[in-house]
Amino acid sequence: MDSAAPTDDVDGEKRRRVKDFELQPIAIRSPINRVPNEILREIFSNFPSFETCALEYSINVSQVCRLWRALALEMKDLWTEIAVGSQMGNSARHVELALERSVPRPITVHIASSWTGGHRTPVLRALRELPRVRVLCIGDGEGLAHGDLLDSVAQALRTCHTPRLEELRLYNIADDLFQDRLFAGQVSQKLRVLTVVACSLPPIVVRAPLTHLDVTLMDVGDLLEILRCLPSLEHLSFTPTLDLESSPAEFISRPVASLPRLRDISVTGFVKSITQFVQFLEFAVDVDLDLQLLCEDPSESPHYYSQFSWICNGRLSNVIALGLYYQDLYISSRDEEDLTLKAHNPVLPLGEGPRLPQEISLSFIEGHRFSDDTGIITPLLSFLPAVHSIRTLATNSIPYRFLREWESMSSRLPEVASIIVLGPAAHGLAMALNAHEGLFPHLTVLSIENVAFADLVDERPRTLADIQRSFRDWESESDSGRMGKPESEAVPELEIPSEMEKGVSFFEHLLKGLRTREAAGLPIGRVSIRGCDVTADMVAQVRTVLGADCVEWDGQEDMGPRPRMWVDI
Amino acid sequence: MPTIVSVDDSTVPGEGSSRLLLLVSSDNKHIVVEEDIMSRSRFISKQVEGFEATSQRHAILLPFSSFVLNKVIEYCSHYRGYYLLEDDPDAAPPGRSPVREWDQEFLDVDRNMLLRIIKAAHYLEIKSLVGSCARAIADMIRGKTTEEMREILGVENDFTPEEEHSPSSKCTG
Repeated sequence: MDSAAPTDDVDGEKRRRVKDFELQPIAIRSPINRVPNEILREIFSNFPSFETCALEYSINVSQVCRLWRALALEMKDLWTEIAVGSQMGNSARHVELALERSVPRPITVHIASSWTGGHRTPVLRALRELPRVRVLCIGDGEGLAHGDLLDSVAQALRTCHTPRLEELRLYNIADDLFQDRLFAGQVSQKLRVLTVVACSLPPIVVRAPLTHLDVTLMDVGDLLEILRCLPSLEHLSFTPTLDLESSPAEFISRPVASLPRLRDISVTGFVKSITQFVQFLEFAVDVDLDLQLLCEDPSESPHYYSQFSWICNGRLSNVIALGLYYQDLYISSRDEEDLTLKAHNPVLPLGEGPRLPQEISLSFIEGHRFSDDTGIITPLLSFLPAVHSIRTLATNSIPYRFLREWESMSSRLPEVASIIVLGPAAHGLAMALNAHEGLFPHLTVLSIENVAFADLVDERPRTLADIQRSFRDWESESDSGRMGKPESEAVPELEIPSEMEKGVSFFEHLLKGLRTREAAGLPIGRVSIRGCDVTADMVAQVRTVLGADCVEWDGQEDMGPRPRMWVDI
Repeated sequence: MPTIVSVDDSTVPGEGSSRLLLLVSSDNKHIVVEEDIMSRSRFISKQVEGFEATSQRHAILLPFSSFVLNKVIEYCSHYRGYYLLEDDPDAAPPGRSPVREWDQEFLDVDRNMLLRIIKAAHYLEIKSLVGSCARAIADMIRGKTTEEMREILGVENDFTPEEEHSPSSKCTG
């Protein structure tokens, strides 16, 4: 019996070697096994971070084959994400495994709010490792954090030091006492990032050198109080509980005044608060501030929401704002050398000094109120004295509303020499040219594209009923296919009745405006007409005014489908 | 180590605004490419420095097919002149960054091709491409079971039945 044991060992060893030999060629044939280990490590390192399945991923990777297992066990970072406290969380055994394999790396612990008594063991085990925790997430989006959970966490944090804690995330915690109990003792001086969703800010924030603060669903006033105590804050992300229209005016100036290192603000709010942000922007110009303003979920508030972004980068600031279709919005160009801003909704660059933009592109889409009651156009244009070129696109908007904006732009952008205008925005321009002979005094190049001139008549409704009637008529005409086809080849009389432009086509406005400028010694040197429904006779009249060589016309009268009109009353 | 062979001036087009390199793939295809394009490859850059020392022109023989090499050149051409943090030898290693949109489309290839590209990128020391490929491969196995991972990437299970069922491997990971 004694001599049989070594023989069995030898046989076992031989069997193992034979098995290894049999398996080896198969493994070599596998293409993934022919890639260097360094690449495999790179692949494994892309484990799902900040997800409850992170540890499961690591465990699965380590069970694929011997090589993967060896590599996974070498990679301590692969075992640093632990999720506990819910059905999806890791079991006590896996938590133990991860804690063991990740030593001595700092770890991330997610404690879900939907825990029951059955999840207590892994939670408590994870909490015993608080000195190693770098990121701690408490609660989740599934519901309010459970009282037992909060008690356990608060107890652990009160008794355990957290020297490595850099980031704290709190979700859906309704118990204000919990925040008060957090870190009753010492708070990590490495704590830089705090994310708070649907709960109040814990008092510890004033004792930590926070640089990043992300607050969702919090009262503006509460936030203001806290901001005064965070002089090291560099990045602020904020979604208020209320729309910012009702927020106190201090929100505008306080962050800038009391947060000298603040560089970036991301605010999610409603578009109706935009006036306040414009003012905020004025403060921001001098403090090297990046501001990004976003508004999500258009379905919630169809008349006010939008996604809009402002990005201000020091003296160069590009502003993107307004519009109903957030997917059409464009973030800015930051190219200092060739700053041409383009967007589907108003893009207003803001800056000063040598980095001033030379061109702006304004595009107005359905739903945008282009009257100055938004407060956005006027304050921003004052920053743009060097703009010499405007490109404007408007669709689905009320034409006469553009008149005021062209007037405003002319007074604020006196150097503009070139305008490209597309769609109904041209109607306002035609009216403005007619109404003000000194409009854009340096304007020498005018390009008009895809504009319905001939049959669209300025009737300037004065009352709500007029407006509604006007657009009902427009739509019914459009539906019957009459739009875009001049009813008569006859060119309208140029003499405008003194009782104002009622019943005058926008082409007449344009023609009269060109004549007036010519007479006033401010001729537009070149006019290009493309894709418009003008006739050869109409173009001939323009050529009579400006000279034959000064007018380009593509001869295209078919504009294609007309955009649907939009009314916001 | 790559094989470097001397070539005649007639083999490599003359110097213009950007110098030209001759890359020779494992299937003996000669591909001429501007040095600027391949400057993202630290391997190529080091080779070129060596050329300058000898003032001789060389071809660089590479151990992968022209098909793969062309893909890598396409990637380098797309990002020509772009600064990518991952490829900056002086920059601190970047954290995780989202996959660039163009890369996603570029790497929408089958598994074997993806593995060939990542190997080539690794050989040429193009870290940004290695990173993008690695993320693409990781995405393929994310949320998958062990068996699915094996199936997706063609990995053979070389655990013995004993190892597979031992508490130290299977049950506890």
